[in-house]
Amino acid sequence: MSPEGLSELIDSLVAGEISSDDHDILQQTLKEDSSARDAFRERMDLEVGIQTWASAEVQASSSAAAPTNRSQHTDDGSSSTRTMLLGFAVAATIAMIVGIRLSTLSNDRGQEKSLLDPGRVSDRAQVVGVIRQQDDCEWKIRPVSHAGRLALGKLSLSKGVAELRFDSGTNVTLDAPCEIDVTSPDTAQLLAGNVFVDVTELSNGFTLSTPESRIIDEGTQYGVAVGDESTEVHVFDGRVVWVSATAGMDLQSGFQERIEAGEARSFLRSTPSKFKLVTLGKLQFVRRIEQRIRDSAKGSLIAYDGFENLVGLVRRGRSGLGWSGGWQAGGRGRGPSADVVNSPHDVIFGLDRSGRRHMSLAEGCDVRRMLESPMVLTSGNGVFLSILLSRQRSRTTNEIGSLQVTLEPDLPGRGRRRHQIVSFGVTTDGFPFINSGNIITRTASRIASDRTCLYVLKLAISNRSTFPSLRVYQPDEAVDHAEPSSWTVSGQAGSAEHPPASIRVLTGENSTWHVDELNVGNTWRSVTTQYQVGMN
Amino acid sequence: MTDSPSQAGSGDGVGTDAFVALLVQHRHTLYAFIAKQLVNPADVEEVFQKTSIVLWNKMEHFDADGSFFHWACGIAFNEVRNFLKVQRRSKLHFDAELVELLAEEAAAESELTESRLAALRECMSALSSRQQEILRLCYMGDDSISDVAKCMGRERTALYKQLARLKRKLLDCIQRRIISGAAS
Repeated sequence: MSPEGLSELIDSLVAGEISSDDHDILQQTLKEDSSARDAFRERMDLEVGIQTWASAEVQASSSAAAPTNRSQHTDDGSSSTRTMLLGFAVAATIAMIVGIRLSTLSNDRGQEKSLLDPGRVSDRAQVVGVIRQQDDCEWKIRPVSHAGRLALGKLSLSKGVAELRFDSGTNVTLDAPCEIDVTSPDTAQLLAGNVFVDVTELSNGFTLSTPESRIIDEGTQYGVAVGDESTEVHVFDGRVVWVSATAGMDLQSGFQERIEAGEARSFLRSTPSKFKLVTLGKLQFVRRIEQRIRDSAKGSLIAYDGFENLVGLVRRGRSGLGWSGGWQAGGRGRGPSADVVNSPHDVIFGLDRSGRRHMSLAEGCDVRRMLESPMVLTSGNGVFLSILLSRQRSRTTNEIGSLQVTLEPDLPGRGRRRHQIVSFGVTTDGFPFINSGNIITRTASRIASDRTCLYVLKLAISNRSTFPSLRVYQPDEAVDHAEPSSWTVSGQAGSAEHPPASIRVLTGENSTWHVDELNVGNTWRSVTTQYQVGMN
Repeated sequence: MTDSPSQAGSGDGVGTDAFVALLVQHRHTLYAFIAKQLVNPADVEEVFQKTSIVLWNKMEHFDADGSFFHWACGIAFNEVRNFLKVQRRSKLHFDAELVELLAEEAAAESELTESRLAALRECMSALSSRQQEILRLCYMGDDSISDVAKCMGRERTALYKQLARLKRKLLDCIQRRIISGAAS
C-alpha cells in the first residue's frame, strides 16, 4: 500500500468514518508491514498531541473565565492534589488532574454536535463538568455545551437518561422527562422530573433546589422527584436537609426538615413545609433495590440484573451487580434490539413490580452480558440461575417464538457457542427445554403466552461434568424455600472444562419476550430469596 | 528519563504525592499508548479513566525503583483487553493480535512519544492563527468535521483536505525537530 493510501485509511479511521472493508484492509496492512505500524503510531501521537493542545486551550479559557471553588491543581502534581484523589469517583478526578480532555458527551460524534448551542455558550461559558447520555436521548432544551463540556444553563430531557458529572465531585442522573437548570459548579435547580444525586467524597457539597425548596446534602446519595403536586425526597446514604421557601420568605428562614438515610418524604408543592412519610423505594431508585438484593443473598450471589436501570439503555452496563459492562450484541453481530421498559403493575411470586422495569427483547434479538469474572466450577458445588420470562402473544400470527438463555465460556469467536456450558428456555412450540451435552431435553407441558414464569436452573458439578436441572414455576405456584427434590426437566451431562463467563439471551422469530430479575449465584437461596421474603 | 519519584514513601510503594506526580508526568504518553490500540477518543478516555483507577488502587504494588510507564502500560493493556472483550462486536476495533503488536511497540517508544508531543507544541506555535483556529474547532469539541465545516460555511471535503494538509505539515515539522534535536 502506498503511503498516501495508508494515510487516507488512517484519516478515515481517526475520523470514525472508515468502512468495514477498509478497516479490514488497514488491519491487515498494519499486521504485515512494520513501517505502516510506525506511521500509524506516529500519527496517533500526533492525534493525541493535538487533542491535548486543544484541551489545554479550553481549560485555559474556562479557567480564565470563571475559576471554580475547588483547589486549582498544578501540572506538576503538587501535594494539593492528594486530597482530591480519595474516594469513589477517581476516574473523573484523575482525568481532571492530569488534564486529559473528558469530552464524553456520547460515543456518537454526530449526536454530540447536536448538543452544542453556540448562541447560549457565549452568554454563560463557565463549564462545570461533562455529560454522559444514552444514545437515544432526546432533548427538549439541549444542554449548554462548551467544547464538549457542560456549561451553565437549563436543560430539558424528554427521552432517555443522562448523567451530569460535575467537576466538583457530584453526579446527577436525570431520568426523562426531566428539566433542570445548572446554576453553578455545585448547585442546580430541579424544575420537573426525577434525578438521582450522588455527592461523592470528593465534593465539597452540592445543593439541589426545587421551585419550593433547597436540598442540602450532608455526604449523600438521594433521589428527588418533582411532580405536579408534590416533591419526593428519598435518601439512601448520609442525610439531607430540606429547606422550604414559602412565598416572599427568605430561604434561610424557611421550614427545615432533616431526612436521614433510609427515609423518604413527600412535600406538598403548594405548602412545602407540610410533608408526609412515604415508603423509601416507592419510586424504585436503582441503588436501593440492588443493595437489598445483594444484602439478602449474603455473599452467595454472583451477579444480578433487575433492569432497574436509571441509565435505561441495556448496553450502558449500569444496572445490576457482578457484571463487566452492559448487554452487548451476541454472536450474530446484530445490535441488541433490547430495551428497558416499565414493568406492569403486577405482583409476581410475591414481588411487587409496580414502578419497576424489565428488559424487553424483540424477535431475533441476541444479547450477551459478561460476568465480572468467570464462575468457579468446583466439584460438589453448583451454579444457580433464576430469571423471570414472559412471552408476549403475537398480534399478527398464532405462531409462538422461542427463547434461549445460555451460559457461555470466555472463548473467542465461535468457540463460545461451540463450547456453551448449558442453555435452557422455551421452544418454538412452547415447551421449556434444556440443551446440554448437545442433547435437547424438553418438558411435557407447554407454557402459555403472556404468563410470567420463574425459571430456576441448577448446574451441579461433579468431577469434570455438569448436570443441569430446570425448575419452572407457574405464576400460581409457591417458590420452594430450599432446593426442590424434583425438577421440571433435567438435562444430559455436559463438560465442566470451561467455566461460564457470560450469559446470553436469544429470541426466535414471531414474538417479543420480557425478561426480568436475572440472578446468578452459588446457592438456591441466593437466586430465589426475593420471591421468599418479599423484596418489594 | 527516570521514573523514580523524588518523594518515595515507605515500603515497596511510593508516597501519594510522588505517585500522583508520576501519573501526571506520564499522562500523555500513557494516553497515547492506549490511543494506539483503540483510536476512538471516547474509547481511549474510558479506558484511560479505568486504568487510572486501577493504577491508583494498586499504587502500593508499584516498585519505586522500576519504570512507572511500563508498569502502567501493563495495567492499561489489560484494561484495553477487557474493554475490547465487551466492545468488540459493537464497533470496529483492531483484533487482539494487532492490538498486542501495537501495544508492544508503543510501550517501547515512550521517549519518542514524549519527544513528538514536545515537538508538536512548538510546531503548533508556528502555525498561523487561522490554522490554529481550524484545529481548535475540529479538536476542541466533539463535533464531526461535517459539523465544523457547516459552522464555518465551508464544504466538508475542502475542510477535510485542509485538515489533512495541516496534519501532514505538523508531522513534517515534528520529524524535522526530532532529527535536529538528535543531531544537536
